[in-house]
Amino acid sequence: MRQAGAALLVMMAILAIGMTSFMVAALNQASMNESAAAQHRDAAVLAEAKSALIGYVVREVLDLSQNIPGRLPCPESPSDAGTANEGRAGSACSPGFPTNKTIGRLPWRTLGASKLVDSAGEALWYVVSPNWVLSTPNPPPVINAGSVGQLSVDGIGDVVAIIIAPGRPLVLNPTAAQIAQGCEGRAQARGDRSHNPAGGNPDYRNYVECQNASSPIDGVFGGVVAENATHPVINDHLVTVTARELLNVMQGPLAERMQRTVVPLLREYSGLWPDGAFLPYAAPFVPPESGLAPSAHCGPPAPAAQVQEGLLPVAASFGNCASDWSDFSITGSVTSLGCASLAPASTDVRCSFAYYRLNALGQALFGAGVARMDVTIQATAPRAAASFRRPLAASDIVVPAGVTVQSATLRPQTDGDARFTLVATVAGSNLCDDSVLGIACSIIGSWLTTSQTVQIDFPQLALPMLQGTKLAPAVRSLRAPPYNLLSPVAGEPHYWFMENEWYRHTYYAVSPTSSAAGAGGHLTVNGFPPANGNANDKRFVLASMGPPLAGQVRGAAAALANYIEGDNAAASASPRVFAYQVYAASGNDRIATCPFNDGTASSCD
Amino acid sequence: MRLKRQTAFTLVELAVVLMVVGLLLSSLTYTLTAQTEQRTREQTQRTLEQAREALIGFAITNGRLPCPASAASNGLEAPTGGGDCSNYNDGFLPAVTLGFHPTDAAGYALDGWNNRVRYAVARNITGCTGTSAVPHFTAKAALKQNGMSCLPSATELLVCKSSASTPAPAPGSCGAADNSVTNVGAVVAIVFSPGKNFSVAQTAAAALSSGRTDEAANLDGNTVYISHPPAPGGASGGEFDDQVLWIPVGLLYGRLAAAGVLP
Repeated sequence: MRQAGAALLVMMAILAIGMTSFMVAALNQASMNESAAAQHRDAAVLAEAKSALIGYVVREVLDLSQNIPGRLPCPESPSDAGTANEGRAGSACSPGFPTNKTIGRLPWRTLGASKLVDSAGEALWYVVSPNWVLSTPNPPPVINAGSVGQLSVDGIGDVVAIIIAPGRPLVLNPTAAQIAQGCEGRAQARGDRSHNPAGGNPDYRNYVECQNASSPIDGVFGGVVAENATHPVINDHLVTVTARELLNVMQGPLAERMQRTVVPLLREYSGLWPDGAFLPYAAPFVPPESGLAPSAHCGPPAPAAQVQEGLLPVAASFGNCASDWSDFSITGSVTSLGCASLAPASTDVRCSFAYYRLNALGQALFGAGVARMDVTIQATAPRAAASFRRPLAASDIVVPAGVTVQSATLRPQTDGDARFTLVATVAGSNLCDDSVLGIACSIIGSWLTTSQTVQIDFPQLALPMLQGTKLAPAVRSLRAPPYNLLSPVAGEPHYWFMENEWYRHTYYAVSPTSSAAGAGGHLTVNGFPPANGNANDKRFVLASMGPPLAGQVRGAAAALANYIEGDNAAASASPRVFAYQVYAASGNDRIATCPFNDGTASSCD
Repeated sequence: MRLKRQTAFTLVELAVVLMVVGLLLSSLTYTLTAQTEQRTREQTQRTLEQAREALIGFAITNGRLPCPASAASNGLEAPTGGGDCSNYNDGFLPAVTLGFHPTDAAGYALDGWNNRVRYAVARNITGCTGTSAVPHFTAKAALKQNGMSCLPSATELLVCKSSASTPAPAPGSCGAADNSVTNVGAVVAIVFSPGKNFSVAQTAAAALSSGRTDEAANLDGNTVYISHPPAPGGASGGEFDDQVLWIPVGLLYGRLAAAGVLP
């Protein structure tokens, strides 16, 4: 009997099997492609997010209304997820969940980016190191070139921020080995796509897995978990920002901020001195890690040699950088009654002396005497040439009627001290002047002269503040002058510099001519932009030393070469030569200096 | 032997089969069309991302952003050498200046539908601590001299969600508080594709008259741009298929600082 179409059936079956296998193979291929494409997509999105984050922080360095350069934004404000305000950074965050958390969505709107999503369409997550963010009620963080990140990713530390592409939700059922690595069983539930459960915040444990989902949140993160290929428990893709990375990129803007806020103040300080161009010797360099107290940042006491480079001598006049007047002398045709501090000690110093007038008998013997005579008072201000002390002016001196201040100068000395010379003129009639008489009036005796006591007061050097600096108008500041150089309050232009202890991480050099020596030339800064002025007339240099580079080992006893690089570390030339930017294979110093012409001619002239 | 009467498909049966096959085929074609469109969108997205990278790369090597090309500049920035641009908000990606490929015969970069890629850049600045000469971002000397403290001014580039907001978006504000995508002063440059439907309405006026107010906002030459997912004809704001990317000011400054160009 004729077969009815079996061959056709067989052929159909073969075709069907063939097509199925082809489709399965294609699907397999597609799924592999998909996971590769997903990784690729996540990498691209994470790189974009990282650029935006670093860029945001770097730009904020030059926002002079912000006091903590380098501070990171907090994650998205907890109540904003899924609302019209999503993407805004929270104002403060600390590790505690669910509020004020240091893990949350990436604050893309604050960064200026678009709403970045990963390959699974999920918003990116973001973790910050608690010591780089504002966290009320804790005091604000102190961030400088010595700051390190508190997070670690797959065993690599110093991480300040992590951006995570969370991927699709997983049902976690970890093996023993995975549990040992911090994985916990959980069925991740993400609700709807807007992820805004009523009244709640998205729970990070529904988005990230294993180490990244520790509860409470800790500092250990990572994307590598054992047996994940065969037993998937984590699908997070991570990108990290380390403290060094961030601090390195910040160097340029930071130097510019110094140029705009600290340099004008130093320039102005130097202008307060009689010769118009004095700056103190440096405090000898010590590594920031040694934790030298601010009050010790001054030149060594005489007779130790002073140094022209090191750290800024920001010590106020107390403690081991106390600067109390000493070595008083009163010369002239007078009897010195000595000088002493008035009580309390922080007020003026009083010098007293007695001068003599010839009485009728004296006039008969020695003539009429003189109508004016000068009395010179001298005193030493220890360490005043190696710290920021307020120079005295004639207007600071309090004299009684009949006495006028002829001149009052505080002259820096190369031993680090400063010598104060006050010439006061006593006016009157029949004054007994030794040089006219050829004999000391003080020993003539009261039967020929009458004596009169004079008290002259002048301020203590302990006045720690530098008052009345006029600031360049281009410097935006929340407070009007005067600014307190050594202990600024919030709103003053250099508050950030002192508050975040950047003075520990800033190398300071003063030119010989601007120091107490008064001669010897100015500093040179190689590579100084011609648009900003000459390279070889620098009165002082502030070099931001930056984070350590490869090969630099820092610590309490580390040498200077572990902090500054290239020309900046080669102290051979005199006067010294610095490099505006060290472009050698390794080098991240950036310099602020004076004179500096930024086009407004106000930054430093 | 009597021949057995052949049984065959009736005409009706054939018609039904053909109809089913037709339906299947048409649904397949529809899927194919959708897939092609999706692929073209993705290709456009990649082109825009590459354009954004090219702009940042140009800024790193030249110390400034390029000016947008004008319709007559053959893919060169207008004016060449930067400075005060002729087409801040109604220009094209200067593909020839950027060395960007591929381009059309006239030198303009094309999106997936062969429309020219558009580019807008901010001119005015605010918040500077030093000098504040403008234009800032497209002039090398000014950018260097003014420095990184300068932000795009409040009426500069702004990306909003919709043009149908009360009050209406205008330079400096997206109108309603929940209508903004970017903050004021956060965007230095925008690259965007006018999308597939650009071919039927090539000016702001034409887009407006066909009810595409969101797309019209991107073509009207002011500093307010609209970006949201594609929307069909009936949506508020009209049909929308533009793809918009932008460069945040922090990103630009960060890359320039990392490269040592600024400050």
